[in-house]
Amino acid sequence: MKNRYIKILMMCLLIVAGACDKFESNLPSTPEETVKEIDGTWKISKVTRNGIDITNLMDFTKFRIRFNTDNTYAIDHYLPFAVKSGGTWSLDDPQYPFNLELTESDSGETLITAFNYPVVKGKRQIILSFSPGCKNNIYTYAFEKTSEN
Amino acid sequence: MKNLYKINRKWLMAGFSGLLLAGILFFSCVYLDSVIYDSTLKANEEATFTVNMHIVSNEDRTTRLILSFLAPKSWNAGEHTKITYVDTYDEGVLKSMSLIPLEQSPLNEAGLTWGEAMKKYFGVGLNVLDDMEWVTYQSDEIYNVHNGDNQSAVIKIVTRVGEENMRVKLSFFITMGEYSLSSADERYFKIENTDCIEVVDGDETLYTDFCEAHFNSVQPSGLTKDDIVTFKFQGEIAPNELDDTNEIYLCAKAFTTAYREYAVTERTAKTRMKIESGRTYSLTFWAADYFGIPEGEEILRVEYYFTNADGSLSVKQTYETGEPDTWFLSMFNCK
Repeated sequence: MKNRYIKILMMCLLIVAGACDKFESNLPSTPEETVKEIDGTWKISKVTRNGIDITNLMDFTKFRIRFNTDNTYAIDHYLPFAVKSGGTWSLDDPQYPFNLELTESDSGETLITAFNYPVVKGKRQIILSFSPGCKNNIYTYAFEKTSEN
Repeated sequence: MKNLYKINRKWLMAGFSGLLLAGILFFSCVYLDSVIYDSTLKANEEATFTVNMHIVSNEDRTTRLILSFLAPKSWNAGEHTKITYVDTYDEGVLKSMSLIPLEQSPLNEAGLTWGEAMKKYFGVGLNVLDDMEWVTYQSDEIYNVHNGDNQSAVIKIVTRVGEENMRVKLSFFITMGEYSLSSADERYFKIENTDCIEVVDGDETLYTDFCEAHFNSVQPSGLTKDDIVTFKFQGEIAPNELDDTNEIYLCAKAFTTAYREYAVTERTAKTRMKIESGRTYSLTFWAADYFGIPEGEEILRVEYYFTNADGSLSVKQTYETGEPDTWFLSMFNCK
């Protein structure tokens, strides 16, 4: 009877030890942060000027910015923005970006804008802040992806 | 079972009372006793504001003193302010405060700077225009505040007044350390607004009245042609010629660095102002696009007035001296 209990106990220990070993070997120790994929066409969903929402005060609906996978970008229906013309883009860190760098093709001028990449109401957004006019005025554009090419 | 219920209820009440007591007792009350300032300031000169405050603490904690003040953006107060103070912790020792770094957010306001969070909760104080900013400092010294402390401080804020003549109401805010701005409990912080302060001897063409609403306003006040600008007609200020119409148009001319004039005086969908509320109408546009300003030219000023659909009625700048009405003036100035 005593031997039977010992056998059962040993079997349980083996199962537990085996399970633990298998569990440890299959799970990564830290989850990998995804690379921020911004390629595609984006439209404006919200605009603030110095923290005040001005989205409904003028027509921002036509503005488009298209980020291509070859790190070029293009702007349609321009409005005051960080840059005035198309060029190339890059993030300061593909996984944990704080800034988006935009370099205009024609002028060669590079502008760095604060970059945020939240999910708002289930939709991925790009939020960029910049001063296209007077340096005291900070504009923040929130973009949502469109299905347009 | 009844006894068990009684015991549980007794413990529940005791626990609840304890929590309540902790809530009442374990905080530091902050008091802003007074703000001393001159009611008239000179443009381009330093101005001194003295804040008298004290705290009464019912807890031991390690914290910093935080002071935020609301000033016109054009003063660029973050770069032109020096704050020193003396306190009763160390009598006679002159201490200093430094700007809170942009990456440091208030409690529960992750992602917001102190300036953004202050604007979120306290707006632009008692002013009617938005071109104001909260500039926030913290004591360089980290305090070990003890239960029972009743200490005071006299804080001197020396800031450079901007170049524009204006009327403005400043605000001063103090707190200790890490209290949440969203708290409705004002024991954690105090805010005090000044009366309307007049800035004189500066540039009169850039005059801005933050204290009182007028028929016209242009926001933001610092502008270039590449800004998005909002022209506003505030018809509720006083009876006026446009009281009986809901179709209000902006009639404007931009004057540029190339000595050219770009007029948009048509009364079409482009110039029709949108109703905001009551008798307030606004028109928001990208200035360069609206006036058709070419590359290489900058807008120096815009002259404008408000009119009805057929242009027969208008609201312009009036003068108490009886001079003829003129167009309103907005200087496009960015410094």
